[in-house]
Amino acid sequence: MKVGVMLPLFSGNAAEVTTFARRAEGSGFDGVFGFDHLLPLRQPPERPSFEVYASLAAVAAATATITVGTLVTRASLRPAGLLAKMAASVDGISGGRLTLAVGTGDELSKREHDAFGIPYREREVRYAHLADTVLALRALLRGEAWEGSELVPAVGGPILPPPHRPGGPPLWVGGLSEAVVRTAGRLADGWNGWGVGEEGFARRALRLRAVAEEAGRIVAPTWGGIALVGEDPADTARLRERRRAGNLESDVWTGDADGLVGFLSRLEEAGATWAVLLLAGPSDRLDLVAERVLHRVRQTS
Amino acid sequence: MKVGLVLPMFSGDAGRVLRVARLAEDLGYDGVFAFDHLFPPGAPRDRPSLEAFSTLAAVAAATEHVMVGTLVTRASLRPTGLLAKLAVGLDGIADGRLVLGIGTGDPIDRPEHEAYGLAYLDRRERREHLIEVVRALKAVFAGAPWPGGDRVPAVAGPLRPGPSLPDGPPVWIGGQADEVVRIAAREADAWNGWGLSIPEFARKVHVLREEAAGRSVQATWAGIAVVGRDEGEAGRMLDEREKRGMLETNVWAGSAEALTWWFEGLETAGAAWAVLVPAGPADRIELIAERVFPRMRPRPSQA
Repeated sequence: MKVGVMLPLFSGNAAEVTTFARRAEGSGFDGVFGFDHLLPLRQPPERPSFEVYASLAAVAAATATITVGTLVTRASLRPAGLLAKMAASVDGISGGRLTLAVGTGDELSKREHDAFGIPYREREVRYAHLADTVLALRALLRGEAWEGSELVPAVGGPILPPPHRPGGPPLWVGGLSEAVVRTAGRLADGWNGWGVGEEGFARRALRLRAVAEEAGRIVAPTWGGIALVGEDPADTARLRERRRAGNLESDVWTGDADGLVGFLSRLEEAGATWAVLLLAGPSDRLDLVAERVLHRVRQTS
Repeated sequence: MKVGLVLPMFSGDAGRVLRVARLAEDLGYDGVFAFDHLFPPGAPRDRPSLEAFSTLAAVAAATEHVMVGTLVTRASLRPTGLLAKLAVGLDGIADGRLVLGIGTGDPIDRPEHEAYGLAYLDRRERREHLIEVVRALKAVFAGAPWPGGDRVPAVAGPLRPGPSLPDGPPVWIGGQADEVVRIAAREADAWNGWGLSIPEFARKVHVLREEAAGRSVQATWAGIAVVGRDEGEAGRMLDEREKRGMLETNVWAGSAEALTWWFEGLETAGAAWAVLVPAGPADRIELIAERVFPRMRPRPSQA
């Protein structure tokens, strides 16, 4: 199983983002990923959030081997042709290290659309738009034209320079709903379940496989989410207490380093090829996970 | 006068762009700039063009003190709110070294809009749109919401992190028409004229100053330069371009020595920047730095 970490794009410090990426690369993580938010989620709009493609391009230039990815880029934020152009560019700058995860966004991101003058679509339309966007990206990133649909206008292409790899970067679709899992199974290279527990992950991974098999495809299940990792049970309890005092969200995996090894192993048994962690708590958690978790998870594969 | 370089975006080779940017910084250029085209204008669609903002972000991460800029970004390519967010993101990575050159684009760009399914505006609409885009950018850069206009929807932001400078990165408006020069005089921090002779440039600077009526706005020049080791080589380079069907009339051509004098003329005409697209062999970047920079008056970056 590969293990990635989320970049600190809500930190407000550009140098910290590239430094973090270099640290992650140096300590053996397989990937660094960025949210695609114009305003930070679940925080006041005055809090910082870096633009994802500029950040990933800088990270790509500052690193050499690590995967750089979106998790997830919102299909409805940019015209599909521009999105493909940006993605191909970051793939080129990174020498073929991009993973492009796409999602619909949800009600939480509506305020970003409103604040930046970008139309917001209702849920059912978002699902259909996501599927068409994935089809358009697929075509464009392997050098073909996108013929156009009602929701995603035609793009002539070809995108040049093309992505580094002939077929384009791996495309993941992120989201927990049945509609999104189906889209991933029918059209994508990977599916990402963000913040979902192991049972929910296993159930969706099975569903994903069924849909993919029906279409004669293989699609990789991947996990992503917030992880609050303690050194030991006592440290974990302290971190949990502090986080609760801050009244922060609840869909957080919490446990110590040994517990994380168990959790990731069970995700892997359910088929996960990647786990991407948003490491909560103190900044030394990157080192903690690198030292206590990475090699043990790799041994199981 | 500062001297900048346009990066080889149409090479399609991001690694080469990064090498040129680092070299330009080492050689003492003041800035490196990128076109914003989805494919090269006037060329078949199957020619490469690197994406401007992500490429400049990589350039910013790979350099330390050279200015990085768009020359120009097309106001109508991206939703204005996204453009603002992208520009501020790039400015943050560049630690305040961004120059945001912006323009309307012109009919030669129309195939790009059509190929990418993006709306294309007519000339009058493009100019009205540019004014609103620049006003919206300036507002949200400074932390104020843009209430929305006839052509650019409301952008409340806020942009966080905000730009490095309190009012945002310098905004240059690029364009040739007197009307666009006047828009720059009223709305922007600088105007950029492409491929102009010194008399034409001087005349536009006059238009700019008159319209600005005391408001501080810089004049900047940019264009293709065919620079030879001597006049003979410059002539041969021009012949070579002609043989390849490149028949532009607005190209500067001459020896490195002549470029020195020409720069003096530009500066006298009021140019704060000259941004070159160096034609011909790749070593012209070094040639200009070696032969021209030592003979120029002390430049602001060296003062």
